[in-house]
Amino acid sequence: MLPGRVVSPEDSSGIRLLSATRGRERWEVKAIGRKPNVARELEKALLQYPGVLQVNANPVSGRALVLYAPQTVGLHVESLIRESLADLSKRNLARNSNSTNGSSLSRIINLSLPERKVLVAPGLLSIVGHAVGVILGLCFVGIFNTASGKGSGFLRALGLVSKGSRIFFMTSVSLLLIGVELLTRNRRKKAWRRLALDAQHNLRTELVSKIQEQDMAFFDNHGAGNLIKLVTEDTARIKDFVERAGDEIVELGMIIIVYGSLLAITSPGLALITLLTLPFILLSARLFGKKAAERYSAAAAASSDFTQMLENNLTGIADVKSFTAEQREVRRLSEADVQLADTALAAVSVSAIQAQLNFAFTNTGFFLTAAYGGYLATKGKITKGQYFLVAALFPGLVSALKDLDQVTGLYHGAANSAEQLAEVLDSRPAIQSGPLLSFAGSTRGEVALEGVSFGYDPSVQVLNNISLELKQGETLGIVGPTGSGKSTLLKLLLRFYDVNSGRILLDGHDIRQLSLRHLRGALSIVSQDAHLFQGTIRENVVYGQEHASEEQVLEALRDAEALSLIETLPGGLDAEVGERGNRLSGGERQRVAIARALLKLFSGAAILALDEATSQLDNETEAGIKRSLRKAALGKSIIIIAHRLSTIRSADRILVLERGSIIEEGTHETLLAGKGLYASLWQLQNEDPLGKLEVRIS
Amino acid sequence: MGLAGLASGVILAQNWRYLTKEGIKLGVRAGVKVREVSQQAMEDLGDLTAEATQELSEQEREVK
Repeated sequence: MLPGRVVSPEDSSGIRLLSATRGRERWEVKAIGRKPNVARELEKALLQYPGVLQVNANPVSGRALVLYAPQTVGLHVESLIRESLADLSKRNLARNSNSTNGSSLSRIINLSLPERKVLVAPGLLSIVGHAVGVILGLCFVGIFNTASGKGSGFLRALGLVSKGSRIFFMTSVSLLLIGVELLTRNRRKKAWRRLALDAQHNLRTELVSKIQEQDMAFFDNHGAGNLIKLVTEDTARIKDFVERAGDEIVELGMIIIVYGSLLAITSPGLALITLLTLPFILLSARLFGKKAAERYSAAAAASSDFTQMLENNLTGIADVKSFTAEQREVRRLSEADVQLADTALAAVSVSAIQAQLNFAFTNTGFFLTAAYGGYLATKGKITKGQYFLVAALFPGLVSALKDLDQVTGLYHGAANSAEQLAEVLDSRPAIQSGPLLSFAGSTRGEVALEGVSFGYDPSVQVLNNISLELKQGETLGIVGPTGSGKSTLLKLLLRFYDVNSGRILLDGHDIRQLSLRHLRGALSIVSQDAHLFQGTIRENVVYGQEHASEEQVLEALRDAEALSLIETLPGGLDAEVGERGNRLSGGERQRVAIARALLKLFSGAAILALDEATSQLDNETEAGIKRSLRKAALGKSIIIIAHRLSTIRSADRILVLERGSIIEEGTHETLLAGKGLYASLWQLQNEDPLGKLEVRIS
Repeated sequence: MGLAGLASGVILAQNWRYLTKEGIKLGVRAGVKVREVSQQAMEDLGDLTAEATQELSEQEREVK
């Protein structure tokens, strides 16, 4: 590679930077390879962005050349390509919205097994294994025919004149084939299992990555239990289908081709009679397929409800126990499980009825064939040997069809799972990263809200026309009654949601124009219910800042008044915190979370946001943290949300929120002098422990 | 050996249409690949020229 030549590693989305010079970038874009329409659309989409001068998307080479004005501030070609491709994919999905369960399944399988060549090894093993099975069947017929006086002219031509030598030869061949079958069976099963596990892995990786990039509204709509079910249960169904279906299809294909050809050669009339039942089998597949899809969909919904309920129960187990509601929970979960079992049984019963009907049709076909074959044999139109051939081969066909019935059940389940997986994989977050990756100089941390209104449900406003400003290095306190919209302000600043009207600026840029990575990297936040991940204290503190040194970790812990914690816990920094940090007290969890936020601040975040971050700490510890913050967060902008007014007393400016509007603004002293809500709250918390004063909170 | 030759002859006679069609497909695929690789090579040349030009102009600027 020549100096200056840039080749970035290819990621899962299939785009890779090949060359970059000032105002000129060449990207490999797999999506346009051999797709002239997509290439044309990509060109059009990219030319819409300001600063982009010329685009040449070449479907032959699968590459796109982008020429742009180099002076364009913040133009990020990679983001533009990704965004354009996502838009194109969304439009294509809209065009294909009438897709059926079956097409969802084929899409999901294509996604999980992007390279066809991985099918070669298991496919070949299946062909060998099942070919051996078919030849064994033919050998059996041959042995019978030889024993009953008929015989293969082919074997005679090989010099096997006597009946005994022919039988010995065919028996030896059969034994050899049984050996080959035994040797390949295990490898065949293993090859399909490996392929299915690879498919499951690819699918899970894609799904988890898609879930991670969704916005908060997506998580509000899909519960955690439902998403867990998708990642575990539904991907496993696809795996089961891939593992069984490929092998069964090869088996059935070989049996139908070989036996069907023999049948047709022996007696076309017999072959036609066998085919008489085929329309009935196809009809039952059509009739029951639809019903099965509905039932499997209901079963999937019940399974999702159950997982959701179980997840709720386990995360709230402390409350379950404190309210001695164990029996109630057991009853609720048991009822949900019964519901799940009923719907699953209803789904399976449809597949079972279809399987029974298919079995009945094929057996009827067998008896019709046997009867007509017997008639032809007695009339001398076919030999007894030919009749035996037909009669002996037919059960093999029936057996293969029976196996296919099991695959039909798997297919219905997998098709339903595929539809649900496709829904998540196709969903595109409403919150999209902006094109501005960085702007001149480092982030200063100046925030401005201009006429911001927002509601999680647009008809119920949580924030009304909020305007505020936070200057670099300033500390802003926000107080207000529960539900006044304090935490929502932080969520909007992080772009967990987009404002309904107005705009939020960071260093003068609308945050919708900023790359999400850049925006969220500029903010270090400690939320109300600080979440710790299962792992050690060290892992939790360095979360997102994996390259931090031990000294930085210890400094962050010291500033968060958490050094004593690692001194007392066995294992120190490497002490396990348990699931969600449940081995620590609430205050200890908060201190570790503050240390994590401080480490991010040391690594360059410009704004520190504390949302009730010290609510579970005693006054002395809180005062210690405040002292440390003055030093650690020097020059950084700080937002503190608190109920305890002593926490924000020293803030440069304090906002009082009520019902989503700013009703008071000023320093602690001016707000006290104003004798408004803030003064009432202060009096209540500090001077009137008996609560005689009436506080205006509605 | 003779039997194997005979069998091959029979298979060829029965499948010549299929085999010819597959051969044509293989040829077309190879042609498309050659076109893709040569196109990529041309583009690589363009990229390297752009990079080299930029490096030269930067070096000249530094000298001045």
